[in-house]
Amino acid sequence: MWNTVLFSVIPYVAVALAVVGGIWRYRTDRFSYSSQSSQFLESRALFWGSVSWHYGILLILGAHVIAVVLWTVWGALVNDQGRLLVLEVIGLAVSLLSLAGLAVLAARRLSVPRVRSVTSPMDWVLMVVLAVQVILGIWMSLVYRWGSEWYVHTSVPWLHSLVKLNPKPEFMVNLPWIVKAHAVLGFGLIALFPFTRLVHIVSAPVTYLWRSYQLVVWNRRAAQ
Amino acid sequence: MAAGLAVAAAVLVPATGAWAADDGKAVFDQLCQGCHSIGGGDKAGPDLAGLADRRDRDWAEQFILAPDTVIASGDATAKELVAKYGAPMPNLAVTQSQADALLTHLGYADTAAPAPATPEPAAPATPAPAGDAERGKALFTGGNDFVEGGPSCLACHSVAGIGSLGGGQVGPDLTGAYAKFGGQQGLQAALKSVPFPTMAPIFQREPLTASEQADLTAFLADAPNRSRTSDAAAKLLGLSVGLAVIVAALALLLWRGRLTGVRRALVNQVKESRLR
Repeated sequence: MWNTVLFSVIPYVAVALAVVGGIWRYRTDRFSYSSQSSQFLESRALFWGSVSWHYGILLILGAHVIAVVLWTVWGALVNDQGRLLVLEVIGLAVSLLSLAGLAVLAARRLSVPRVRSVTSPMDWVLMVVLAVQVILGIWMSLVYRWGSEWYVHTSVPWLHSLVKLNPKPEFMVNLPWIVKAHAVLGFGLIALFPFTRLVHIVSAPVTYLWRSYQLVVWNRRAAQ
Repeated sequence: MAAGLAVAAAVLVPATGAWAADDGKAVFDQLCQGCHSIGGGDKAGPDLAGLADRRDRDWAEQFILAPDTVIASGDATAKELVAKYGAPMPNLAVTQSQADALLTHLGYADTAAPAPATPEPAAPATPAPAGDAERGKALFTGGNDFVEGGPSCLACHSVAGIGSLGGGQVGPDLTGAYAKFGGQQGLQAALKSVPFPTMAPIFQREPLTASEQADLTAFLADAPNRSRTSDAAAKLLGLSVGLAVIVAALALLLWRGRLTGVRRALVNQVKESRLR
Protein backbone atom coordinates (compact mmCIF):
# COMPACT_ATOMS: atom_id res chain seq x y z
CA MET A 1 0.00 0.00 0.00
CA TRP A 2 2.60 2.54 1.14
CA ASN A 3 4.97 1.37 -1.54
CA THR A 4 2.31 1.95 -4.17
CA VAL A 5 1.70 5.47 -2.88
CA LEU A 6 5.40 6.30 -2.65
CA PHE A 7 6.64 4.80 -5.90
CA SER A 8 3.63 4.67 -8.20
CA VAL A 9 1.42 7.60 -7.18
CA ILE A 10 3.59 10.37 -5.72
CA PRO A 11 5.83 10.64 -8.83
CA TYR A 12 2.86 11.30 -11.11
CA VAL A 13 1.25 13.71 -8.63
CA ALA A 14 4.55 15.58 -8.33
CA VAL A 15 5.05 15.90 -12.09
CA ALA A 16 1.40 16.92 -12.58
CA LEU A 17 1.75 19.59 -9.89
CA ALA A 18 4.97 20.86 -11.44
CA VAL A 19 3.50 21.10 -14.94
CA VAL A 20 0.07 22.47 -14.04
CA GLY A 21 1.41 24.71 -11.27
CA GLY A 22 4.23 25.90 -13.50
CA ILE A 23 1.86 26.87 -16.33
CA TRP A 24 -0.53 28.52 -13.87
CA ARG A 25 2.28 30.59 -12.35
CA TYR A 26 3.57 31.54 -15.78
CA ARG A 27 0.12 32.74 -16.84
CA THR A 28 -0.71 34.60 -13.63
CA ASP A 29 2.64 35.85 -12.36
CA ARG A 30 5.03 35.72 -15.27
CA PHE A 31 7.69 38.06 -13.89
CA SER A 32 8.12 35.92 -10.79
CA TYR A 33 9.90 33.31 -12.97
CA SER A 34 13.24 34.17 -11.44
CA SER A 35 15.33 33.54 -8.39
CA GLN A 36 14.78 37.15 -7.28
CA SER A 37 18.40 38.07 -7.01
CA SER A 38 19.70 39.48 -3.76
CA GLN A 39 23.16 40.17 -5.17
CA PHE A 40 22.55 43.91 -4.83
CA LEU A 41 22.01 43.47 -1.07
CA GLU A 42 25.03 41.31 -0.40
CA SER A 43 27.47 39.93 -2.93
CA ARG A 44 30.58 38.51 -1.30
CA ALA A 45 29.08 35.53 0.60
CA LEU A 46 26.65 35.09 -2.28
CA PHE A 47 29.53 34.56 -4.70
CA TRP A 48 31.17 31.76 -2.74
CA GLY A 49 27.90 30.17 -1.63
CA SER A 50 26.19 30.37 -4.98
CA VAL A 51 29.18 29.23 -7.02
CA SER A 52 29.86 26.21 -4.79
CA TRP A 53 26.20 25.29 -4.58
CA HIS A 54 25.36 25.66 -8.26
CA TYR A 55 28.45 24.01 -9.77
CA GLY A 56 28.15 21.20 -7.22
CA ILE A 57 24.46 20.51 -7.57
CA LEU A 58 24.44 20.85 -11.37
CA LEU A 59 27.23 18.28 -11.71
CA ILE A 60 25.51 15.86 -9.32
CA LEU A 61 22.07 16.36 -10.83
CA GLY A 62 23.60 16.02 -14.29
CA ALA A 63 25.10 12.64 -13.34
CA HIS A 64 21.69 11.48 -12.07
CA VAL A 65 20.03 12.58 -15.32
CA ILE A 66 22.71 11.14 -17.61
CA ALA A 67 22.35 7.75 -15.92
CA VAL A 68 18.59 7.83 -16.58
CA VAL A 69 18.82 9.00 -20.18
CA LEU A 70 22.01 7.18 -21.29
CA TRP A 71 21.81 4.22 -18.96
CA THR A 72 23.86 1.87 -21.12
CA VAL A 73 26.66 4.41 -21.47
CA TRP A 74 26.65 5.19 -17.75
CA GLY A 75 26.37 1.49 -16.89
CA ALA A 76 29.42 0.72 -19.02
CA LEU A 77 31.30 3.67 -17.52
CA VAL A 78 30.87 2.56 -13.91
CA ASN A 79 31.15 -1.18 -14.59
CA ASP A 80 34.86 -1.06 -13.85
CA GLN A 81 36.29 -0.86 -10.36
CA GLY A 82 38.82 1.89 -11.12
CA ARG A 83 36.44 4.18 -12.98
CA LEU A 84 33.72 3.55 -10.41
CA LEU A 85 35.91 4.58 -7.49
CA VAL A 86 37.19 7.71 -9.27
CA LEU A 87 33.61 8.75 -10.05
CA GLU A 88 32.46 8.05 -6.50
CA VAL A 89 35.24 10.18 -5.01
CA ILE A 90 34.55 13.04 -7.45
CA GLY A 91 30.82 12.77 -6.83
CA LEU A 92 31.19 12.86 -3.07
CA ALA A 93 33.66 15.77 -3.22
CA VAL A 94 31.30 17.75 -5.43
CA SER A 95 28.36 16.98 -3.11
CA LEU A 96 30.35 18.19 -0.12
CA LEU A 97 31.14 21.42 -2.00
CA SER A 98 27.48 21.93 -2.83
CA LEU A 99 26.47 21.32 0.78
CA ALA A 100 29.13 23.79 1.94
CA GLY A 101 27.77 26.30 -0.57
CA LEU A 102 24.24 25.77 0.71
CA ALA A 103 25.47 26.30 4.28
CA VAL A 104 27.09 29.61 3.25
CA LEU A 105 23.87 30.70 1.53
CA ALA A 106 21.78 29.76 4.58
CA ALA A 107 24.15 31.56 6.96
CA ARG A 108 24.03 34.61 4.69
CA ARG A 109 20.24 34.68 4.67
CA LEU A 110 20.23 34.44 8.45
CA SER A 111 22.98 36.90 9.22
CA VAL A 112 22.51 39.70 6.70
CA PRO A 113 19.38 41.63 7.77
CA ARG A 114 18.72 43.03 4.30
CA VAL A 115 18.82 39.57 2.75
CA ARG A 116 16.77 38.07 5.56
CA SER A 117 14.01 40.59 4.99
CA VAL A 118 13.60 39.51 1.36
CA THR A 119 13.58 35.80 2.25
CA SER A 120 10.13 34.21 2.04
CA PRO A 121 8.91 31.23 4.10
CA MET A 122 8.97 29.13 0.92
CA ASP A 123 12.65 30.00 0.49
CA TRP A 124 13.31 28.42 3.87
CA VAL A 125 11.15 25.40 3.06
CA LEU A 126 13.09 24.87 -0.16
CA MET A 127 16.43 25.36 1.52
CA VAL A 128 15.62 22.79 4.21
CA VAL A 129 14.36 20.25 1.66
CA LEU A 130 17.44 20.75 -0.52
CA ALA A 131 19.74 20.41 2.48
CA VAL A 132 18.00 17.20 3.60
CA GLN A 133 18.17 15.84 0.06
CA VAL A 134 21.90 16.53 -0.29
CA ILE A 135 22.63 15.13 3.18
CA LEU A 136 20.67 11.96 2.37
CA GLY A 137 22.68 11.62 -0.85
CA ILE A 138 26.00 12.06 0.95
CA TRP A 139 24.95 9.68 3.70
CA MET A 140 23.92 7.09 1.12
CA SER A 141 27.12 7.43 -0.85
CA LEU A 142 29.11 6.74 2.32
CA VAL A 143 27.01 4.03 3.93
CA TYR A 144 25.39 2.29 0.94
CA ARG A 145 28.20 2.25 -1.57
CA TRP A 146 28.40 2.19 -4.62
CA GLY A 147 25.33 4.13 -5.62
CA SER A 148 26.59 5.29 -8.99
CA GLU A 149 26.44 1.68 -10.12
CA TRP A 150 23.43 0.17 -8.34
CA TYR A 151 21.38 3.25 -9.18
CA VAL A 152 21.53 2.22 -12.85
CA HIS A 153 19.98 -1.15 -12.01
CA THR A 154 17.39 -0.11 -9.38
CA SER A 155 16.18 3.49 -9.55
CA VAL A 156 16.80 3.88 -13.27
CA PRO A 157 14.56 0.95 -14.33
CA TRP A 158 11.99 2.26 -11.85
CA LEU A 159 12.13 5.74 -13.43
CA HIS A 160 11.91 4.18 -16.89
CA SER A 161 8.85 2.22 -15.77
CA LEU A 162 7.27 5.49 -14.64
CA VAL A 163 7.92 7.05 -18.04
CA LYS A 164 6.33 4.01 -19.71
CA LEU A 165 3.26 4.49 -17.47
CA ASN A 166 3.80 1.01 -16.06
CA PRO A 167 5.28 1.65 -12.59
CA LYS A 168 7.50 -1.10 -11.20
CA PRO A 169 8.00 -0.25 -7.53
CA GLU A 170 9.61 -3.65 -6.96
CA PHE A 171 12.90 -2.13 -8.10
CA MET A 172 12.76 0.25 -5.13
CA VAL A 173 10.80 -1.28 -2.28
CA ASN A 174 13.58 -3.43 -0.86
CA LEU A 175 16.24 -0.75 -0.86
CA PRO A 176 17.29 0.89 2.44
CA TRP A 177 14.93 3.60 3.68
CA ILE A 178 17.50 6.36 3.07
CA VAL A 179 17.52 5.49 -0.61
CA LYS A 180 13.74 5.43 -0.75
CA ALA A 181 13.55 8.76 1.09
CA HIS A 182 16.06 10.29 -1.35
CA ALA A 183 14.00 9.09 -4.33
CA VAL A 184 10.66 10.28 -2.96
CA LEU A 185 12.12 13.60 -1.83
CA GLY A 186 13.45 14.07 -5.35
CA PHE A 187 9.87 14.01 -6.56
CA GLY A 188 8.99 16.27 -3.61
CA LEU A 189 11.39 18.84 -5.09
CA ILE A 190 9.70 18.47 -8.47
CA ALA A 191 6.37 19.15 -6.74
CA LEU A 192 7.85 22.24 -5.06
CA PHE A 193 9.03 23.62 -8.40
CA PRO A 194 6.10 26.00 -9.15
CA PHE A 195 5.75 27.20 -5.57
CA THR A 196 9.34 28.25 -4.91
CA ARG A 197 12.29 30.03 -6.47
CA LEU A 198 13.10 26.70 -8.17
CA VAL A 199 11.24 28.15 -11.18
CA HIS A 200 14.45 29.97 -12.03
CA ILE A 201 15.69 26.63 -13.40
CA VAL A 202 13.70 27.30 -16.58
CA SER A 203 14.70 30.96 -16.77
CA ALA A 204 18.41 30.35 -16.19
CA PRO A 205 20.36 32.34 -18.76
CA VAL A 206 21.73 29.26 -20.51
CA THR A 207 21.91 31.23 -23.77
CA TYR A 208 24.94 32.95 -22.21
CA LEU A 209 26.79 29.75 -23.04
CA TRP A 210 26.59 30.33 -26.78
CA ARG A 211 25.79 34.00 -27.33
CA SER A 212 28.63 36.16 -28.61
CA TYR A 213 30.65 37.66 -25.82
CA GLN A 214 30.28 41.21 -24.63
CA LEU A 215 33.28 43.32 -23.81
CA VAL A 216 32.86 45.36 -20.65
CA VAL A 217 35.12 48.41 -20.58
CA TRP A 218 35.75 49.97 -17.19
CA ASN A 219 36.51 53.66 -17.00
CA ARG A 220 38.99 53.12 -14.20
CA ARG A 221 40.47 50.20 -12.38
CA ALA A 222 38.84 49.19 -9.11
CA ALA A 223 40.92 50.32 -6.15
CA GLN A 224 43.32 47.60 -5.05
CA MET B 1 -11.80 -52.21 -15.29
CA ALA B 2 -11.88 -50.16 -12.11
CA ALA B 3 -11.20 -53.26 -10.05
CA GLY B 4 -8.28 -54.07 -12.32
CA LEU B 5 -6.77 -50.63 -11.77
CA ALA B 6 -7.22 -50.93 -8.04
CA VAL B 7 -5.37 -54.21 -8.03
CA ALA B 8 -2.60 -52.75 -10.15
CA ALA B 9 -2.32 -49.84 -7.76
CA ALA B 10 -2.21 -52.13 -4.77
CA VAL B 11 0.59 -54.09 -6.35
CA LEU B 12 2.50 -51.02 -7.51
CA VAL B 13 2.36 -48.87 -4.39
CA PRO B 14 4.88 -50.68 -2.22
CA ALA B 15 7.24 -51.06 -5.14
CA THR B 16 6.98 -47.36 -6.05
CA GLY B 17 7.37 -46.38 -2.43
CA ALA B 18 10.60 -48.30 -2.02
CA TRP B 19 11.97 -46.95 -5.25
CA ALA B 20 11.00 -43.40 -4.31
CA ALA B 21 12.73 -43.57 -0.93
CA ASP B 22 16.00 -44.62 -2.55
CA ASP B 23 15.65 -42.00 -5.19
CA GLY B 24 14.84 -39.45 -2.51
CA LYS B 25 18.25 -39.91 -0.95
CA ALA B 26 19.88 -39.37 -4.33
CA VAL B 27 17.83 -36.21 -4.88
CA PHE B 28 18.68 -35.03 -1.37
CA ASP B 29 22.39 -35.61 -1.94
CA GLN B 30 22.25 -33.83 -5.25
CA LEU B 31 20.09 -30.83 -4.43
CA CYS B 32 19.63 -30.35 -0.69
CA GLN B 33 22.67 -31.42 1.24
CA GLY B 34 24.54 -28.24 0.36
CA CYS B 35 22.35 -26.39 2.83
CA HIS B 36 20.55 -29.08 4.85
CA SER B 37 21.37 -32.15 6.88
CA ILE B 38 19.14 -34.83 8.27
CA GLY B 39 20.12 -35.12 11.89
CA GLY B 40 23.45 -33.38 11.42
CA GLY B 41 22.40 -30.00 12.72
CA ASP B 42 21.59 -26.72 10.98
CA LYS B 43 23.71 -25.58 8.04
CA ALA B 44 22.72 -22.66 5.79
CA GLY B 45 19.21 -24.06 6.20
CA PRO B 46 17.55 -26.04 8.96
CA ASP B 47 18.25 -29.66 9.93
CA LEU B 48 15.45 -31.61 8.25
CA ALA B 49 15.32 -34.49 10.77
CA GLY B 50 11.80 -34.79 12.08
CA LEU B 51 10.44 -32.44 9.40
CA ALA B 52 7.36 -34.63 9.00
CA ASP B 53 6.46 -33.96 12.63
CA ARG B 54 6.93 -30.20 12.32
CA ARG B 55 5.27 -29.37 8.99
CA ASP B 56 2.33 -30.87 7.21
CA ARG B 57 2.98 -32.57 3.92
CA ASP B 58 1.26 -29.99 1.70
CA TRP B 59 3.30 -27.16 3.11
CA ALA B 60 6.57 -29.07 2.77
CA GLU B 61 5.68 -30.07 -0.79
CA GLN B 62 4.85 -26.53 -1.82
CA PHE B 63 8.01 -25.19 -0.21
CA ILE B 64 10.21 -27.75 -1.91
CA LEU B 65 8.60 -27.13 -5.30
CA ALA B 66 8.50 -23.32 -5.19
CA PRO B 67 9.96 -21.72 -2.06
CA ASP B 68 9.95 -18.32 -3.76
CA THR B 69 6.18 -18.50 -4.31
CA VAL B 70 5.51 -19.57 -0.73
CA ILE B 71 7.76 -16.80 0.62
CA ALA B 72 6.15 -14.23 -1.67
CA SER B 73 2.70 -15.29 -0.48
CA GLY B 74 3.61 -13.97 2.97
CA ASP B 75 3.36 -17.40 4.62
CA ALA B 76 4.20 -16.93 8.31
CA THR B 77 6.38 -20.05 8.64
CA ALA B 78 8.34 -19.19 5.51
CA LYS B 79 8.84 -15.64 6.75
CA GLU B 80 10.11 -16.92 10.08
CA LEU B 81 12.56 -19.26 8.34
CA VAL B 82 13.90 -16.50 6.08
CA ALA B 83 14.38 -14.27 9.11
CA LYS B 84 16.08 -17.04 11.12
CA TYR B 85 18.50 -18.18 8.40
CA GLY B 86 19.07 -14.76 6.89
CA ALA B 87 18.39 -15.77 3.30
CA PRO B 88 15.45 -17.28 1.44
CA MET B 89 15.75 -20.80 0.05
CA PRO B 90 16.41 -20.60 -3.69
CA ASN B 91 13.98 -22.20 -6.12
CA LEU B 92 15.88 -25.27 -7.27
CA ALA B 93 13.33 -26.17 -9.96
CA VAL B 94 12.55 -29.46 -8.22
CA THR B 95 10.20 -31.61 -10.29
CA GLN B 96 7.03 -33.13 -8.84
CA SER B 97 8.48 -36.64 -8.93
CA GLN B 98 11.69 -35.46 -7.24
CA ALA B 99 9.59 -33.70 -4.59
CA ASP B 100 7.55 -36.86 -3.98
CA ALA B 101 10.74 -38.87 -3.61
CA LEU B 102 12.23 -36.28 -1.26
CA LEU B 103 9.12 -36.17 0.90
CA THR B 104 9.25 -39.92 1.23
CA HIS B 105 12.92 -39.72 2.12
CA LEU B 106 12.14 -37.07 4.73
CA GLY B 107 9.68 -39.36 6.44
CA TYR B 108 6.34 -38.36 4.99
CA ALA B 109 5.21 -41.80 3.83
CA ASP B 110 4.86 -45.10 5.64
CA THR B 111 7.00 -46.84 3.09
CA ALA B 112 9.88 -44.40 3.40
CA ALA B 113 13.20 -45.55 4.63
CA PRO B 114 13.93 -44.18 8.12
CA ALA B 115 15.87 -40.97 8.14
CA PRO B 116 19.57 -41.64 8.65
CA ALA B 117 20.52 -41.02 12.25
CA THR B 118 24.15 -40.30 11.53
CA PRO B 119 25.17 -36.77 10.51
CA GLU B 120 25.68 -36.09 6.85
CA PRO B 121 29.33 -35.89 5.84
CA ALA B 122 30.52 -32.30 6.09
CA ALA B 123 32.29 -32.23 2.74
CA PRO B 124 29.96 -32.07 -0.24
CA ALA B 125 30.02 -35.13 -2.44
CA THR B 126 30.12 -32.95 -5.53
CA PRO B 127 33.42 -32.28 -7.31
CA ALA B 128 35.40 -29.06 -6.79
CA PRO B 129 34.03 -25.91 -8.48
CA ALA B 130 34.36 -26.08 -12.22
CA GLY B 131 34.54 -22.30 -12.38
CA ASP B 132 37.66 -20.18 -12.48
CA ALA B 133 38.29 -17.94 -9.46
CA GLU B 134 40.22 -15.36 -11.50
CA ARG B 135 37.38 -15.02 -13.99
CA GLY B 136 35.01 -14.88 -11.02
CA LYS B 137 36.96 -11.98 -9.56
CA ALA B 138 36.87 -10.12 -12.86
CA LEU B 139 33.10 -10.62 -12.99
CA PHE B 140 32.71 -9.56 -9.36
CA THR B 141 34.66 -6.34 -9.82
CA GLY B 142 33.40 -5.51 -13.30
CA GLY B 143 36.67 -6.25 -15.08
CA ASN B 144 34.58 -8.60 -17.21
CA ASP B 145 30.96 -7.75 -17.97
CA PHE B 146 28.12 -10.19 -17.42
CA VAL B 147 26.85 -11.53 -20.73
CA GLU B 148 23.27 -10.44 -20.06
CA GLY B 149 24.37 -7.04 -18.77
CA GLY B 150 23.71 -7.38 -15.04
CA PRO B 151 25.57 -5.07 -12.67
CA SER B 152 28.89 -6.26 -11.27
CA CYS B 153 28.57 -7.72 -7.75
CA LEU B 154 30.85 -4.94 -6.50
CA ALA B 155 28.06 -2.37 -6.95
CA CYS B 156 26.29 -3.70 -3.86
CA HIS B 157 28.52 -6.31 -2.22
CA SER B 158 31.96 -6.35 -0.73
CA VAL B 159 34.21 -9.36 -0.33
CA ALA B 160 37.73 -9.93 0.89
CA GLY B 161 40.50 -9.35 -1.60
CA ILE B 162 39.18 -6.70 -3.98
CA GLY B 163 41.18 -3.68 -2.88
CA SER B 164 41.16 -1.28 0.03
CA LEU B 165 37.96 0.58 -0.86
CA GLY B 166 36.19 -2.75 -1.19
CA GLY B 167 32.77 -3.27 -2.68
CA GLY B 168 29.32 -1.90 -2.02
CA GLN B 169 27.36 -1.94 1.19
CA VAL B 170 23.76 -2.11 0.00
CA GLY B 171 23.94 -5.90 0.12
CA PRO B 172 25.77 -8.08 2.65
CA ASP B 173 29.50 -8.76 2.56
CA LEU B 174 29.99 -12.03 0.68
CA THR B 175 33.24 -13.18 2.27
CA GLY B 176 31.42 -15.97 4.12
CA ALA B 177 28.78 -16.63 1.48
CA TYR B 178 30.25 -19.90 0.27
CA ALA B 179 29.98 -21.46 3.73
CA LYS B 180 26.64 -19.80 4.45
CA PHE B 181 25.00 -21.31 1.40
CA GLY B 182 26.45 -24.69 2.11
CA GLY B 183 29.19 -24.78 -0.46
CA GLN B 184 29.28 -24.94 -4.18
CA GLN B 185 25.91 -26.45 -4.83
CA GLY B 186 23.90 -24.17 -2.58
CA LEU B 187 25.69 -21.02 -3.70
CA GLN B 188 25.42 -21.88 -7.35
CA ALA B 189 21.70 -22.58 -6.91
CA ALA B 190 21.32 -19.20 -5.20
CA LEU B 191 23.17 -17.49 -8.07
CA LYS B 192 20.97 -19.31 -10.54
CA SER B 193 17.58 -18.51 -9.03
CA VAL B 194 18.58 -15.26 -7.22
CA PRO B 195 15.82 -15.52 -4.61
CA PHE B 196 16.73 -12.24 -2.87
CA PRO B 197 14.02 -9.58 -3.08
CA THR B 198 16.31 -6.67 -4.03
CA MET B 199 18.21 -8.66 -6.65
CA ALA B 200 15.33 -10.62 -8.13
CA PRO B 201 13.87 -7.89 -10.38
CA ILE B 202 17.34 -7.09 -11.73
CA PHE B 203 18.61 -10.61 -12.35
CA GLN B 204 15.35 -11.92 -13.72
CA ARG B 205 15.89 -9.46 -16.56
CA GLU B 206 19.61 -10.05 -16.75
CA PRO B 207 20.28 -13.59 -15.46
CA LEU B 208 23.76 -14.98 -14.85
CA THR B 209 24.91 -17.68 -17.24
CA ALA B 210 25.90 -21.13 -15.92
CA SER B 211 29.60 -20.44 -16.42
CA GLU B 212 29.30 -17.07 -14.67
CA GLN B 213 27.61 -18.79 -11.73
CA ALA B 214 30.46 -21.31 -11.59
CA ASP B 215 33.18 -18.66 -11.85
CA LEU B 216 31.63 -16.52 -9.12
CA THR B 217 31.19 -19.56 -6.91
CA ALA B 218 34.87 -20.44 -7.36
CA PHE B 219 35.88 -16.87 -6.50
CA LEU B 220 33.66 -16.79 -3.40
CA ALA B 221 34.86 -20.23 -2.29
CA ASP B 222 38.33 -18.79 -1.92
CA ALA B 223 37.20 -15.54 -0.25
CA PRO B 224 37.72 -16.49 3.43
CA ASN B 225 41.43 -17.08 2.67
CA ARG B 226 41.95 -13.48 1.61
CA SER B 227 42.34 -10.40 3.76
CA ARG B 228 39.75 -7.65 3.91
CA THR B 229 39.56 -4.04 5.02
CA SER B 230 36.84 -2.41 7.04
CA ASP B 231 37.53 1.32 6.91
CA ALA B 232 36.45 1.96 3.32
CA ALA B 233 33.90 4.66 4.27
CA ALA B 234 36.54 6.65 6.16
CA LYS B 235 38.97 6.35 3.24
CA LEU B 236 36.30 7.42 0.77
CA LEU B 237 35.38 10.41 2.92
CA GLY B 238 39.05 11.33 3.37
CA LEU B 239 39.73 11.23 -0.37
CA SER B 240 36.59 13.24 -1.14
CA VAL B 241 37.24 15.90 1.51
CA GLY B 242 40.80 16.18 0.20
CA LEU B 243 39.58 16.67 -3.36
CA ALA B 244 36.93 19.19 -2.24
CA VAL B 245 39.55 21.20 -0.35
CA ILE B 246 41.87 21.23 -3.38
CA VAL B 247 39.04 22.42 -5.65
CA ALA B 248 38.02 25.12 -3.13
CA ALA B 249 41.63 26.28 -2.78
CA LEU B 250 42.01 26.48 -6.57
CA ALA B 251 38.79 28.47 -6.79
CA LEU B 252 39.96 30.90 -4.10
CA LEU B 253 43.24 31.34 -5.93
CA LEU B 254 41.82 31.73 -9.43
CA TRP B 255 38.95 34.01 -8.45
CA ARG B 256 40.92 36.09 -5.99
CA GLY B 257 41.34 38.95 -8.43
CA ARG B 258 37.86 38.71 -9.94
CA LEU B 259 36.10 41.94 -10.83
CA THR B 260 33.53 42.80 -8.22
CA GLY B 261 31.02 45.63 -8.05
CA VAL B 262 32.36 49.19 -8.34
CA ARG B 263 30.44 50.31 -5.28
CA ARG B 264 32.48 48.32 -2.79
CA ALA B 265 35.69 49.72 -4.18
CA LEU B 266 34.34 53.25 -3.87
CA VAL B 267 33.17 52.65 -0.29
CA ASN B 268 36.56 51.24 0.64
CA GLN B 269 38.24 54.20 -0.96
CA VAL B 270 36.17 56.63 1.12
CA LYS B 271 36.78 54.64 4.29
CA GLU B 272 40.52 54.65 3.70
CA SER B 273 40.57 58.38 2.95
CA ARG B 274 38.74 59.07 6.24
CA LEU B 275 41.23 57.00 8.17
CA ARG B 276 44.11 58.98 6.81
